[in-house]
Amino acid sequence: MMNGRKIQPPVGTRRRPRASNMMKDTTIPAAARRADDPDLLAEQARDGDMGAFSRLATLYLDRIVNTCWRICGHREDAQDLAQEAFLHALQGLATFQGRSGFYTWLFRIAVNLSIAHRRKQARRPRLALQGQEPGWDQDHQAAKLVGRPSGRTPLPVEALQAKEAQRILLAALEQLDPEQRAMVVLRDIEDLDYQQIAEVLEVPIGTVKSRLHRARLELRARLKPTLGEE
Amino acid sequence: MNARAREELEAQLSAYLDGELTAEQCARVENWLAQDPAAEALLADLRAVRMGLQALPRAQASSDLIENMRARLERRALLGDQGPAGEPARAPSLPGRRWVAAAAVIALTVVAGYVTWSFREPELPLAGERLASAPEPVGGTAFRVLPSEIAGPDRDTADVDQAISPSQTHTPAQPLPQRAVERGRRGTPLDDMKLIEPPPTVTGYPHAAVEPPATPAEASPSVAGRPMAAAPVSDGLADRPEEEGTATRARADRDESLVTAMRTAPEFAGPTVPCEQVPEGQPATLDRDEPVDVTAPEPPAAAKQAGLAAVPERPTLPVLANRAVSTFGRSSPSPEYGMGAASAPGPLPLVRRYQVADLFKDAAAAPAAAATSPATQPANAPASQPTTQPVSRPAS
Repeated sequence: MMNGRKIQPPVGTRRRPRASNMMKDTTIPAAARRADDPDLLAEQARDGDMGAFSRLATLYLDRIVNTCWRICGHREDAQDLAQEAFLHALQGLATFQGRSGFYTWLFRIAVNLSIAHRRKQARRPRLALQGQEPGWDQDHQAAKLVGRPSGRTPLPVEALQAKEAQRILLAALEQLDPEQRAMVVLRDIEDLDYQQIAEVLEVPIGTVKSRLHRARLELRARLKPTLGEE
Repeated sequence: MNARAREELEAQLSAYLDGELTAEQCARVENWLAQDPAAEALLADLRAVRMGLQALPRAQASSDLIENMRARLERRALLGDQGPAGEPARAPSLPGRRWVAAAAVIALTVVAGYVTWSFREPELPLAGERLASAPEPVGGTAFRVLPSEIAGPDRDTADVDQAISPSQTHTPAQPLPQRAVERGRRGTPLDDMKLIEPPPTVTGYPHAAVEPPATPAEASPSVAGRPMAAAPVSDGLADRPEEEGTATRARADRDESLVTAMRTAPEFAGPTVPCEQVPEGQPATLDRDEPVDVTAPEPPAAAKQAGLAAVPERPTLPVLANRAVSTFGRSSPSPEYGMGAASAPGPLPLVRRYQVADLFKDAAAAPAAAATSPATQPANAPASQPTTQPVSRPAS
């Protein structure tokens, strides 16, 4: 029972550092910031330092690619979308006001591009030659069980069950509308807090709460048979 | 716990799971979870979904992607204006770009339509069109007046308004317009003038209205060159020989009053060819079928002040609309149509009056005036651009 104790992160889930840690802190002088501070790098890139922008790209490229992948649903398209997002960011650096962090701003560009791509692809669905996403078997995290991660090496049966559970989960995620999908991806995959999600999607925090809850309930309804077996 | 409170708490389960609730809200949710096993099961499912999402494999950017990014950045740095995809930079996407384009197209269409309509103005049934469609070139604002038009003692002043009407190529059977007789009075003694008898029928000059002779004798083709006093047209003042002297004086007085009225009336403020007497030994020997080109002179300063000069050369839409209405409502359009006249709600005033002596006088100079007037000049040229200099009227 969770009554009487503070809620803790799920067991076995290593929480990545919050993106808010990388947000712009205006109280710190620019000279005192670290050299890899994203906002400082963004300022340098805005002044024409392409090396600073390359460091920004290296810093966030994986996360942007992953976000685009989970929203658009296609890995190869996610590569192109991430590249386009960075180039859009580079083009719009002159208009970047700094009211939000560079990370939030970059995510907004990537999410908007991915949602637009998702909607465009929804009008012309394409068939996959393979039964699942390319690279699905290449990731080491595919062997983890849904909700049952452990430090030991999973048994072949457990690995098979985990792959099946993830396939079902991705299929359920595919059926969400783009906004709910982006909400779930930003929160549960990219681990952004509600405030950051509200900034990225430009919606109020209350909207983030309600949409995220509805998205999870919908996923739960679609995964109910799988969850019931556990 | 009612259903509404349960819905509120259930809506907070995800936020509770994410640690986004305040301490008070957390206490309420935890209290509810302790009392409701279904809520605890729902929380467990949500946590499982979340853990499944977090366990999804993560993508990594390919090395090619980074290389492509660097290549594009270098290319952008070298070439400057390059778009995100390395293609030539496009114009910035404006929110209302399509609307601006649509508005520009509409404005262009309106302007083009107005310009086209303005250039089609001579095609309107105006006097200028009639002049332009004359069989012989007529320069500028010149009017064509046939000698037959002035072939009577009471028609010594040509009503140009009717003279240029193409629809009035009429036969002698048509009655003489009384208006032309009454309004055409002038102060010149008619006995000193010689007339050319009008032809019985006048054709071939559809642009020039030829008033029919008032009497059959006047229509006789054998009276050319006879003195105007022999014209049998009676004005009602010289019906008896014994009253001829009195009638002549009365006629002269009435003509003077008419001339004075014509000078002072605003509607007659247009250019007026002065009245000059034809000398006794200089008869007006014009061929009957040879038209006389009378060029509209420059309006005097008084006429400009009277309103002609204040009229814009290019008529506005209301002006043209009034002209169209007036044209269709008139039996004899005014020559002022298409020449920058002011809008006339009713019958337009007659502003062109030419007198017999001036016509005879200018008859010899008519070819020269026609030669100096380019045929290509628009027929609806403003009256302020005469082809000949106005003749000053001697002070009476």
